Amino acid sequence: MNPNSHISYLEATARRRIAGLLDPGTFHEFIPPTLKRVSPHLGLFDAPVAFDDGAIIGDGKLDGKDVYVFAQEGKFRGGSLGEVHSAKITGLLRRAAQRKPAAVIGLFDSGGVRLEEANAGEIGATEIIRGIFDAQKAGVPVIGLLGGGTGCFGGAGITSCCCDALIASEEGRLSVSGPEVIETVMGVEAFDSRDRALVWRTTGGKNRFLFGTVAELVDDHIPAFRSAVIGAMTAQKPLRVADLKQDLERLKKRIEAYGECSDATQIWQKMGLDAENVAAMSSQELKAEKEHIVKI
Amino acid sequence: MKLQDLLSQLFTEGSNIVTTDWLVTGDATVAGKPISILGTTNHTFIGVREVVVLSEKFLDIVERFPGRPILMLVDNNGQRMALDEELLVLPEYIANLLKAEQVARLAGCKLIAIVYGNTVAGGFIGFGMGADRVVSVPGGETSVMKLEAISRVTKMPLEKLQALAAKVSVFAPGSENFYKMGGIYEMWTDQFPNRLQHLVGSDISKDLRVQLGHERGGREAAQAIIEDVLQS
Amino acid sequence: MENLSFEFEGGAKPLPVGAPYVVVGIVASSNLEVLAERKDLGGKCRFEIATAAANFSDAWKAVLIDFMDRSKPRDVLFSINDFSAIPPVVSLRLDQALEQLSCS
Repeated sequence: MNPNSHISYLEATARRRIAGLLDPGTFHEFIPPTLKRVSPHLGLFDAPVAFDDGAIIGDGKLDGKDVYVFAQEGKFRGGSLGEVHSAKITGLLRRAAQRKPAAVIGLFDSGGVRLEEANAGEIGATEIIRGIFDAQKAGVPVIGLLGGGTGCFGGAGITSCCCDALIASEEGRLSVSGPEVIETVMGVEAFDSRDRALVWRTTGGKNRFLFGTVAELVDDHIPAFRSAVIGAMTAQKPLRVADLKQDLERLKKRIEAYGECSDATQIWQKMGLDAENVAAMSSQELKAEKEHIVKI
Repeated sequence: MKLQDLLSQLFTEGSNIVTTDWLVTGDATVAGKPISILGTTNHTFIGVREVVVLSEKFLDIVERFPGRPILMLVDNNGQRMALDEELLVLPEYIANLLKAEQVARLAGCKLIAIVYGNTVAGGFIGFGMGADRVVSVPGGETSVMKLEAISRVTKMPLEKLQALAAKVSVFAPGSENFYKMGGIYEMWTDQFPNRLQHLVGSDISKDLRVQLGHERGGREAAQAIIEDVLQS
Repeated sequence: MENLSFEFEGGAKPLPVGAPYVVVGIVASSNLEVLAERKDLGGKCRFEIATAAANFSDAWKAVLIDFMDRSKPRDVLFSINDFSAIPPVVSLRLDQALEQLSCS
């Protein structure tokens, strides 16, 4: 088998992503599907359940170090946050704060809160966020991965940005309101969600990488994600007012510099990039370009 | 509930509060001690420009008054829905605000949120649900999504959804539902100063929401799942 | 949703040593998830199915009999969440589940 063959992160199931990310054979699942801890609410809507409620959690090793991992299955009800799904992730983070693995790795792939369980999902998202903060307070870095086919939207999008670092492929999408929601509520002039190029340059990994939201841009290749996570597993500084103020300055400058832009190509032009070419650039090319541009 | 009614009912020992078209800032005295106030009003949307103001105010309070309780007054219509908001990476802004809330907590500032108007989805996550305790007052309504929209997306007829909403608290808008699910700690109808005094004087550092959701019957599965993960 | 349950006599050969359980497939439209678990069933195989497409009990039975004849597994519990997959997809997932369960 060609060791360089492409193993798409985008096409893989959540379980396949975990298996490819961690050291072979080291993954051990908490609350396995054999326990059948399914959603207690989907039956009310006559909807099928999944034995893991779309969230797989457990521990394993990455480059020999103990890590915890959670992965959302984006194809099950859009990877949505329901009561059980979010409780599994919250439980994992609380356990991490107690037992202090080298890192928690979160494979996000979620449209946000599950509507059939809207209140449980909404509260669940914020319990996950509190779990991330408590793990970080205990010295455990939380690293998020974006590259799944559903994207990372709504409560999941906000949660992912609370991680210490985000690693994304250009296929990864991140926003609060998804393009379809903006179109439904505000009209197609506000956002044509069927314009795929528009969706990707607005919410996709490249835009988020150029803004610094995403620390590392990788190819859609599971081993590339693995390498990037290994590189990111360093102890993080504790949360301090001075650091947050600095981050806030960066975010304010972004509004000042690009707040009048209505399209990503305008932003990239202002950054000094060959705006028309960004979509076609590989992640290596874009990383090289980023070194030369205005950093805001 | 109108903001001015809330303020006059809450603060009987003196307060100094400034309100603009969407922002509420200031301080007040509760049980003889100062507390900081930060909030939104007029059902504002929460977008990148609102978030940077709220974050800055938060960090300013933490720097100047570590250990002082912060009262978050919540009234918003959710995140501002626009391409240009997402273009600038709105989730990153909201996360910065959440981190500001966390750093306040680390500095010993108790965070108490009072839902007095609307609160919706991403707006509630960013400003409100990050508090140690969330309470509601009459007129305060929580919502993730309107029933009509849930009906469209889930393809369940509205009448059936409404009938279901009468029996379970897991999806429909309304503070009563959020309370049953553990998301709201208390629903205040009277005696605001006493109740606020009690919260300010208590240890509210433990996240009780899963436990409350279980006790109140809104979330029967979550607590056991978390306990089992901790013991796995 | 409809719940179906089937039990068959298993084949003579026990499974080779391998994982205690596997999950294949996803509960998405026209798809299904199969959880295959090693279990002492006295030599039988059991299939517990929750399906979003009601009134297809006979079709399920035919697919399962075909699978049992083809692969002859023994002492496996198959738990299925089906979201209206067509029979060839069901057969595929069953084959995949057994294959992965048998890998060490």
